[in-house]
Amino acid sequence: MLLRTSVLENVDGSAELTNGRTKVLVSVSGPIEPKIKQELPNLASLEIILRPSIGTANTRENLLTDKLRSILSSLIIRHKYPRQLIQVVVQVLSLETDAVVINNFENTVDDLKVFNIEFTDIINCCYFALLDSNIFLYESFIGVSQSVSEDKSIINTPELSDLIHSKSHHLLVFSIVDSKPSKIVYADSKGEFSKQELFEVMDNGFKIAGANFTEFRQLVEKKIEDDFVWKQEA
Amino acid sequence: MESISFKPEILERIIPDVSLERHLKIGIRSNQRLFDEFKNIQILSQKSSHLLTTSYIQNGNTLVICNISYGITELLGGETPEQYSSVYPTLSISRGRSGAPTDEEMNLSQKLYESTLHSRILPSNSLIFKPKVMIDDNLEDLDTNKQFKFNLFVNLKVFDRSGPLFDVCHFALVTSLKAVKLPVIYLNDSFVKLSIDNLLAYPDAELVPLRLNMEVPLVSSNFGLYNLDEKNLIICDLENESEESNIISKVNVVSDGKAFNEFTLINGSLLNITRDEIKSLLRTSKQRAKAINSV
Amino acid sequence: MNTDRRRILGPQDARIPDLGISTNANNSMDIDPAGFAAEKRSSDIQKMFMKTNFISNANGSSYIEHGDTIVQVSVFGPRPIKSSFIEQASFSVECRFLPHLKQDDALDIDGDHHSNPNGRTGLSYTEHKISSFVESCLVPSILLDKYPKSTIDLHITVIEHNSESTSLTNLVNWITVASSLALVDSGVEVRDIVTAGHIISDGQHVILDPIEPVSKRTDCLVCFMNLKNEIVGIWVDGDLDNLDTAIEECNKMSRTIRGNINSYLLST
Repeated sequence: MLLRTSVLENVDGSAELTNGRTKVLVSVSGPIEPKIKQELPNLASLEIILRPSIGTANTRENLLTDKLRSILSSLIIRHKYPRQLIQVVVQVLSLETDAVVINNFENTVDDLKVFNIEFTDIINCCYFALLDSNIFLYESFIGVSQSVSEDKSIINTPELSDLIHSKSHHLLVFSIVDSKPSKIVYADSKGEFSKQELFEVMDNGFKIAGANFTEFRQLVEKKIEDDFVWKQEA
Repeated sequence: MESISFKPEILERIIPDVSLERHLKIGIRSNQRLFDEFKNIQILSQKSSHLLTTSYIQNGNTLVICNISYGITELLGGETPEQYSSVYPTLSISRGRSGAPTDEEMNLSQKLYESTLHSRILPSNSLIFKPKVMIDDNLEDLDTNKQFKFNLFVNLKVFDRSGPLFDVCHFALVTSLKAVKLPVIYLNDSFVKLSIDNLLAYPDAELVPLRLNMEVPLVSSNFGLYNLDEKNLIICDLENESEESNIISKVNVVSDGKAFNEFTLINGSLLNITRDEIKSLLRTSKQRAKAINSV
Repeated sequence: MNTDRRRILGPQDARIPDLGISTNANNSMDIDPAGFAAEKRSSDIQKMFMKTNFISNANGSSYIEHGDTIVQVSVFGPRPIKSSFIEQASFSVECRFLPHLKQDDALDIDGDHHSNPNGRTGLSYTEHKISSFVESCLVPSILLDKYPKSTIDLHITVIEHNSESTSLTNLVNWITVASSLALVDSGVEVRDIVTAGHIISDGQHVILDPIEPVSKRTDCLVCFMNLKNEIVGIWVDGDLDNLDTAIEECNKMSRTIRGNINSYLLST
């Protein structure tokens, strides 16, 4: 995973995340003045725009935007910014399915795209962009994806080929307190699975969220170090 | 200063969050249902013809009309479809306005599309066929390598929305899919070019029920979780503005009574959700799926 | 790629096939209209089923079943308008067929019955025509000046209609009746309840509420406010030699319907 923060100059926070063949750029502007119809008397309103790597946004992006909004609006301390707007723009730069689009198998692509393989990266990239923008968050958060293959083994961070051959796939977002996963913020499990499998996936997700967040924390620490240019001389 | 009192239904409109909390504190809901009670859901009528399958579904006061029609495409050479297919749903909610689909309508259509695909209920090979040919008033097999596919177009019309619609739309879709029957597709004449423009639906042969990878219809159930006095209340089947917009920790489960096909959790109010609570939601969903399918 | 980014329409080249011609007439699934017609005397009006007030998030609603036809109407209003002051309510009617329903071929200029019907966005020619006819029939009955700064919107959904067994005019007849019922249900103040009558005539014989499709005959629909015997709308297809008789027959039918509506409303 490759991360760059503060990549954009004219917004309050931004991050670019590259993970395998997926590359996502997120910008955060806010708190800024909302349009009158967006304004909420005691909360910040949240505007989320998601642009796909190829073509224009359609129903798929609309649903992803909706999911992202429900995740972010529970984590941003919105009452800190009453009558203000926080605008999050997600631009997907490249995607594993893009190669297939170029080969022009439209139907197959639509079917592959529903795995939403970029969604975990979008969530994680939003985390860094929000940190970069200094917007208040209740808790840190991390998204992890897993799939369960036909032989019931769990694959962490599955690739597209794993997803296609999986029996079920699961996206989990955990909030983080004291560097440890705390609550489930969001879960999206699809396919065929039993109660036991669901709990195994949750336990395993809890573990990898913890492990991955250690990496996130190092990135954040390094970022703080770099950002504070007026370091005390030793 | 004199205090003003409002009727419950007016209070619900002006301060829905307070109204909701007051209701839940004394253990009732503004829609008079119990916390663990679901709205009744049933198929009012269903019929299927050569070109169309229609179902009328009622859920509480909400009425959903589901129509499934189909279009034919030719499978291009070398194209190997995925093992499972989906349907192409569009949805409109009657609420006295016209224009482009709303976000809710778009999101529901997309959810139904993704759900059908991921639940693996519709095997692609149930939709793929080779056309027949009419020779001397008899249908005969056509000697060709070309393959064609039915694409199912779903239209859902919703009247009297009173709460989240995914459950009832999902139910309308899967039960209608169960009722879909497909005709024999043929060429009228062996001299006509084999292309989708010349294919016809054969009116005299019996319709063939669509083969699904689904023994009993899947059932979707929704729950809300609400923190009251440091405890999480589980509220089944949200309804009315006050519940829908103020209970923001929600769970949706799709089950066939045995296993699960979907589990979605949005923890909008960052509650501590315990394993036991999730277990109880899963159990309720299973029981409801069994109960509905045993009717 | 699909151009509509708000709807999931599937492959653009998918084509809905036509139904082949049946070699076995008895095997036809459709109801034989001729058989039906034989049982019905020319002066009879077919049975209908009506229901009102079943949609709680509309101000008024009605539902009518008549033969192969099912129509649902919702009234939204009076609702406040956003724009500047108007002295009396504006009234609008929008009629939509469920997408898969085949509409009248003769009127359908953009009728492509082979592509996914769910992709249709605007109103078709038929829907426009019905909407404006119903609107002009109902406007005289509503006391619009009672509702300044408001709009009253009528949404008609044609749920079922068989264009092969029922003429468009007959459909409009029942749409008009359903719309009046929904208006009454909404509590919007009206001068009178608009009802309609529909006949076909071949010059000598007149048939009320005909169920067979029109062929080379004249098809006449007249809408009335029966209280003062006022005509609020006429729809004629074909040549009409004797307008007076046609109006008279339509009036007979509209009065019968009105009687039914009255007793329905009194009993609910």
